[in-house]
Amino acid sequence: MMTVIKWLLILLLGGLFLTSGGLKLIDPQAFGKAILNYRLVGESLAWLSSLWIPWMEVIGAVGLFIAKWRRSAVWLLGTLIVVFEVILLVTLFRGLDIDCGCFGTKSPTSVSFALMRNIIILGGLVLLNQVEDSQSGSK
Amino acid sequence: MTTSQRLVFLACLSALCALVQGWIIGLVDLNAPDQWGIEWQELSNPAAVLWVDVRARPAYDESHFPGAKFLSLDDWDAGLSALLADWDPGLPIVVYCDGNGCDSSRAVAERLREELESEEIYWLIGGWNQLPGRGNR
Repeated sequence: MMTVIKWLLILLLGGLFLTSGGLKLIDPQAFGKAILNYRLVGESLAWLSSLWIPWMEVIGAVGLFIAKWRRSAVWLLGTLIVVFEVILLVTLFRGLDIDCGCFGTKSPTSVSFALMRNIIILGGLVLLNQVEDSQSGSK
Repeated sequence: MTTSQRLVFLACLSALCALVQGWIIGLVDLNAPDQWGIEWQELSNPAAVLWVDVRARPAYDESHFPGAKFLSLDDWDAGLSALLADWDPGLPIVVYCDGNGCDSSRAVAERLREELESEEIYWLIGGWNQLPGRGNR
C-alpha cells in the first residue's frame, strides 16, 4: 500500500514540476518578466532566476524518480516551494495584483490561488518524505 | 554521498544547466515592451471598446471604468460568460489592472486572445492609473 502511495505521489509531483519547469524553460523571457513583477529583484537577478528555477524544478522532478536521489530531490523542491510561499505571502501583503508566473504565461494564476496550491504541493512532498523514511526504516 | 551533498549537487547541476542555457540565449531585455500593450492615447475611440477590469473585486465594486466587466483569474468561467454576453466578435477588448507593475492584465489579454481567437484584444499600459477620471460605480 505504501509503495502505491509513494509512486502515486512521485508521478503527481514529478509530472507537476516537470510541466511547470518545462513551460518556463520554453519561454524564460516571460518568466523573467513575471519575476520582475514581484518587484523584489533587479533585471539581472530576475534573468538569472528565470533560468535557474526552472532547471531546479526539472532536475528535482527527475530526481524524484531515482530512488537514491529521491530524498535530496524532495528537499530541493520543498525548499523552492517554501521560498516561493514566503515571496507569495509578501506579495499578498503588499497588495500586488500580479500573475504568479507558476506555469508560464499560458495559464495565469492569481497569487492567492498559488499560495493555497503550494500548501498542497508542500504537503505532498512532506508525505513523500515520510513514506520514504518509513520504508527505509522498515528495511 | 549524503542527502545534503546530493542536494548541493542537484542545485549546482541546475545552475550549470541554467548557465549553459543563458550562454546560448544571451542576456534578454526583460523591460522591453510586451506585445499587445496599448496606451490610452492610442485608443481612437475608447467608448467603442469592451473594457475588462482584472483588479481585485472590492476595488472593482468601489469604482470601475464605465461599462467595464469584472474578470478574475480565480473565477474565470463565470467572468468570461458575463463578458461574452456583451461582446461581439470584432469589438476591441482592453484589459486593465491596478497599475504599472501588475501583469495580470497581460496574462488575461493573452488568454482571451487564445480563447476568443481575436486579434483585437489588448492590455492597457499603466493600467487603472492611466484611465481618465478613474471610472465610476
